[in-house]
Amino acid sequence: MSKPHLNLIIREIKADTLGEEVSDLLEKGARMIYTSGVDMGVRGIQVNYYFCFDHHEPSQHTILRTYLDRKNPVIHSVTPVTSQADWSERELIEFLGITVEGHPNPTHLWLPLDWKEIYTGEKPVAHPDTERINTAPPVKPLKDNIVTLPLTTIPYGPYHPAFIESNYLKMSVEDEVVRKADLKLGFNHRGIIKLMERRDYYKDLFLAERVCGICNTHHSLSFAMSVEDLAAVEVPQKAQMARTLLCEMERIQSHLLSIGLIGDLTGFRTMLMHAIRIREEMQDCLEVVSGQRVTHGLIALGGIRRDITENQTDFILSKLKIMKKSVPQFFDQCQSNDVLMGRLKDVGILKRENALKSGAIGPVARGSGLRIDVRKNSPFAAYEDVDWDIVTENGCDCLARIKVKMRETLMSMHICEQCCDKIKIAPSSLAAKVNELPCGETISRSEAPRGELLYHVVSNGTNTPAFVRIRVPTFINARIMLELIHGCWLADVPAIISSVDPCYSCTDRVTIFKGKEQSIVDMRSLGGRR
Amino acid sequence: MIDAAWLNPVIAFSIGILLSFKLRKISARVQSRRGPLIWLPDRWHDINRSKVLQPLYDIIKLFSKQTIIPSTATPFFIAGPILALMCAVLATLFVPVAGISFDYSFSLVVLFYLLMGEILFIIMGGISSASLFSAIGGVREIDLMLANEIPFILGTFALAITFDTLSIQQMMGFNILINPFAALAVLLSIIVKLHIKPFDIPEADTEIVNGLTTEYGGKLLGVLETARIIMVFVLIALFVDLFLWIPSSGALAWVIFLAGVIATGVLIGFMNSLFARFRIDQATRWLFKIPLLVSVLAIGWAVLWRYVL
Repeated sequence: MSKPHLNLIIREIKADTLGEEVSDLLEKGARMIYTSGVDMGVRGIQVNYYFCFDHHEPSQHTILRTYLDRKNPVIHSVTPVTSQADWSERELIEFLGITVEGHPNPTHLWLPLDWKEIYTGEKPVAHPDTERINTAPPVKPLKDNIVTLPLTTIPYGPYHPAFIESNYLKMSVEDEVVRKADLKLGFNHRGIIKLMERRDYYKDLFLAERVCGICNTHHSLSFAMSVEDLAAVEVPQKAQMARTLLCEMERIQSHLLSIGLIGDLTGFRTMLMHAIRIREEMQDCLEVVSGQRVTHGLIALGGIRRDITENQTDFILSKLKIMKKSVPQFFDQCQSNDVLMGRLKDVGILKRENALKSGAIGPVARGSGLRIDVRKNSPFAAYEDVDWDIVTENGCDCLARIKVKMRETLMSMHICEQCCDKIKIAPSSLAAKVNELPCGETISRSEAPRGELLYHVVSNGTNTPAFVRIRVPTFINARIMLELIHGCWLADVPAIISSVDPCYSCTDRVTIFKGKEQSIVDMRSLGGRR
Repeated sequence: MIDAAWLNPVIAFSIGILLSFKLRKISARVQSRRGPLIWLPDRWHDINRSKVLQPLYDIIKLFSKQTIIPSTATPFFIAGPILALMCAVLATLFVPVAGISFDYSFSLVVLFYLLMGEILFIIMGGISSASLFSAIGGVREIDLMLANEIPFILGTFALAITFDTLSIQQMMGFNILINPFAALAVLLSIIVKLHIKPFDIPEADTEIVNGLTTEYGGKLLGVLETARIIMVFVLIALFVDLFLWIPSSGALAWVIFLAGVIATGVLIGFMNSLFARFRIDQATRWLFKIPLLVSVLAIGWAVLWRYVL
């Protein structure tokens, strides 16, 4: 039997003492990761507040849990205490119909901004013959609470060259200076969490992989780790090494792509093309190891699905040898471009204390000098057995965030080399057997390329999970991105967006489907009109 | 007797097409891509063919498409591109192609007005579409133009001082040796006028979609593209005439002229792919700093040689 890789304390509290408990934990130095809500039927709506202490004490986590009345779910907002709860609470409002009292900005994030005005009172009725629900846009012209300033409003999206994925960013500008910005998600909504509840664990593993195209190994790894914790199995050493190798290879390709994209968004297309050329070596490695270029499907419950042979590690090592030359050369060339550096320096400054207060994670936090990295703070896979260190920069601007990514790429290559050497001599067992899963719950975290990833899996003893909750890095970082956009030049917006590197497909998937209000979202009402 | 200079617009358009191809090819090669293909073996013709004329095919495609006019647009939306094209075509008549052009004692001033008019008409058409992105693009374009016209005018007037004339024909020559500062100032302002990379701010696609041309499509965009291609030739040819021209006639004149155009085109092509984009405040600050200084130096240099020494 193995011990779970995270120390988790679950405390059930009364809803009215929530504010004090939360500020108590925050005073002790906790970071609030997420707030999730689940409709538990007779017991009411379960609301979980996830905290971690792991940047002070390794692997320490706390969940505060409270139950709300289903008929009249009311909770006091903790957003005035910590802004880290902002988006999580808006999620509760939207998808569970919880009334969050005292929330400073209780507008919709995924649903249309005037959802209530459109749909309360007159419930959508199915047509008697066709049984279809009328989803035509409402007759009443829509109101939009973003445009409150008497200024020009620039819409970015749903489709815009600065976004790879669709979302809707609306900015009020005054002579090219952004005065107010708001972000609207919900265009890639797929309801994966709900799908997970009705498939068994083996299928969920591959469903988790589909959450994000670019950090798919981390998603399936986090899910696998939480199931392994539930089943209390020990993952073989070779599998741990292989998982570490896969994660780092994924980090290399993701970081190279995002570094290239910042070039493209500041008008430096050449940089993107060369980044993609270099990244191709890593994609070849991933293809050789897993057979796929995008979704690798190599993680299994209890280990990995296929062996990584000596030929494959040799191939990776030979490619890494090429990259050791080309990648630093590429980074030097980027940093010697004065125009690009001028665009990134002193743009989108996130001070160290602000980063800590708003709960920044991933390269955004490390670019502001915070030593926040799940790989070190609560180690998973084989990160304790390899030689590496957290990369931080003190610039606090876009340039610092890019530099963090650049140095992390080099660090990841270093880790990959060690993993390749260690896989060769590891014992050949690939996966431990996962038998019955007892009732229980666990969380697992991993460091995806964009920041920490949280999976909360609850088992009820059957072959499907009772529920799964996912918090992706962009969920936190996109809110910080909005804060950075306030007051900057319109021309700096793409640079800030790409330095934070949001992944909206990940974030949109987080939506919770349970609750009273079923999802009848009229996409046309999401934007475009004033 | 019909003057041979009437052929200038046709020559400008055809060489402009080749120059656009060249710009694409160079930026592709710098970006380690293949780019549009020059030649393919016959047996591959089912797959692909020579794309030397790809800019022309693009324009033909645009002319075969339906033109959509936004309901908010004023009549200037249609007039803008057409007037811009007229300015561009007229400008070709005053730029000597291998020494052939209309020439008056004041042709440089006429050219100034035509080049400025082309930009102003595009701005007029763009902002009358009532698109926000066009409006921001227009503001940026005017900012750039205000900062950029001074070095351009001072640079060319430095030559006018040296040769004591305003006729382009009379000031043609290998003047890059006579006044290198003027050559630098004019080259920099040509780069800004053509929206080459650090200065493609008015049409920054990741920021303001496509700037002034956001709402254009179909035939009107085809007109704008044609004007752009002619302008690429006009400005490059003007630089060659003023600074890289060696007096000659007949076939030799064509060789020298084309060599100069290709050399300048390659230089501009490399610049286009080796820089990121300036922010508008950085760009104007830079333009008011370096090109302005260089052009004032050019005037000083010309005055020094003309009147003092």
